[in-house]
Amino acid sequence: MKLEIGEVQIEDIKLGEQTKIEDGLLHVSRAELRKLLLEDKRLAAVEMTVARPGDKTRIIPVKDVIEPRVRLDNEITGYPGVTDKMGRVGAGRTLALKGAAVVTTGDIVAIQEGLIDMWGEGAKYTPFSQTCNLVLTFTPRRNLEAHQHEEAVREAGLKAAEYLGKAAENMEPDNINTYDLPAMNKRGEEVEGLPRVAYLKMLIAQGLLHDSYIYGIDAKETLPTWIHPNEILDGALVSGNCVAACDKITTYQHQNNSIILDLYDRHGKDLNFLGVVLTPELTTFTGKVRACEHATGLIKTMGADGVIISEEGYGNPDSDLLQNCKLLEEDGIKTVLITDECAGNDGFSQSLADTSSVAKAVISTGNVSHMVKLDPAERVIGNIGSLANLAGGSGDSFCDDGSIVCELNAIIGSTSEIGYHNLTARQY
Amino acid sequence: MNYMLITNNPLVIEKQAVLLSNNSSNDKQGDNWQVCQEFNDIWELFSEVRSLLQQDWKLLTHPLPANGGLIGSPFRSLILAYQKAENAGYRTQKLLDEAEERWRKKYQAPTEINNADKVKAYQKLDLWALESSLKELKIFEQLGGA
Repeated sequence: MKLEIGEVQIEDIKLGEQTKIEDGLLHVSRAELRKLLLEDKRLAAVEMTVARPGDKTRIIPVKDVIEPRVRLDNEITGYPGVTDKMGRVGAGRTLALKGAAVVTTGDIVAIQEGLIDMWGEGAKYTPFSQTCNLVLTFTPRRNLEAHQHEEAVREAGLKAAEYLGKAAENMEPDNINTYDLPAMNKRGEEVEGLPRVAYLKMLIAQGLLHDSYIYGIDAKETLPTWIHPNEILDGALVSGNCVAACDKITTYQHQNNSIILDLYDRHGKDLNFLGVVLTPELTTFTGKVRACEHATGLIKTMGADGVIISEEGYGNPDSDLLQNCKLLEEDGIKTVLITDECAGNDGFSQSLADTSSVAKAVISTGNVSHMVKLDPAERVIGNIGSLANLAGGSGDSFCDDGSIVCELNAIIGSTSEIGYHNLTARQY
Repeated sequence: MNYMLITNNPLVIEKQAVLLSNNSSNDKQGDNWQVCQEFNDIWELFSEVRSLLQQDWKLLTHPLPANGGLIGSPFRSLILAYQKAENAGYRTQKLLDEAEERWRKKYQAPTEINNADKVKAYQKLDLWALESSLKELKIFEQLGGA
């Protein structure tokens, strides 16, 4: 399966009359996009704002972030099973508007998600301070339940990203990245003798506002499944998670999964990339047993020598993470776990809620409880008051000088467990 | 099989009849649900679960939520089953210890939350997680006497 992702570099976004791309400037027809988004009768209004890197702008509370793209060579141009009909993606050419993002906001549930700072200290912690963001703030119709509101905003964000992506439809990309991972029996000498490495990707699947969608299917309704990495890079995975800012994996991060990209870089050089297994993080112990047994069973059947396992969220998914590790290590399959830590403000508390002595290679993507102080914003898109309610914030977060104090918990993508984030570890 | 729903969430208590009737199997005999709901706070709920784990009850749902937003929630609904002669209690006891420790650091009593919307959100998210758990258990036929 061969996928080409062509990069069309976007330097800025301007709201205007016509949607087009000229010299790196993405012009967006406000009227046309509004009309498209408000076709969904669950939504009463949408406000559009552009937030640029360096602007003293704070976006809060964020729902999702999506990279605008258009899929060529495929009659499915949108998100299969969500905004478009069902079909397989991951082959052919897709154009991505690099440097641009759609950010959806709006109060959905009181303890929702987090913030993006486009400048200063806060910008260091989120990768979405470096993208030029078209921020969509939605007002729902009255009497919409939170989960209906979430679904409407989720779909609207995807539709907006698809709409913007189409502006690049006839453009020549600035750069093309090719992702070509043939079937196992079609691989040649280049992988002979190399360790066979699989990627086990865990997905939040815990009920309304805590869900992930694979080709539009609620992940908690599925058994763990093998999937070609190109399908993930090309829009088969959509986030429906709404309540954990720092380590929720946004749709943008699924589209640019760092683990997949790194495994591709090393495929045929020092490893043989076998593909991805997606597994749901369920709420019951029986569900966890089922998911872990099936996911690791698939990996064993694939003949993997080693596995990278990434988590989403923390708390009860720590049990899945460790159980997956144990089941594989007991069979002689080496594992590397990627997780964040909930180690208290001082970093001295136990990091994970579950442990195992066989988990020896563990990569931390940061402490969610680490405190940061963020300067006053000149412009707030959304509702700064929501900081009092969201994870990592509180009523005490607001300082007299207008600055705010919060945990990394409150910053979108700050401790991403697939590595698409800014933190690193240094020995000192 | 004997099951217990243990909850301090007023929204779950209000909807318990519908929740449990939708998630029991009528064609299998012997299911028996108890609902334990008289708690002044979440610490009393944990204490009761701890006591039940010493009496051959087993947790079917994980005592921790999946993110920091809910770790401080004052509401929790858990499902247990009576399964004598199983040694499953030890591990879940450890997880319960961890859950309690984490709640201790993040917990906000409902009276300390000066935002009614936040209290409602905690209640709804707990209800939705419980609904998801009941659905999982029904799919796996753990409910209905299996």
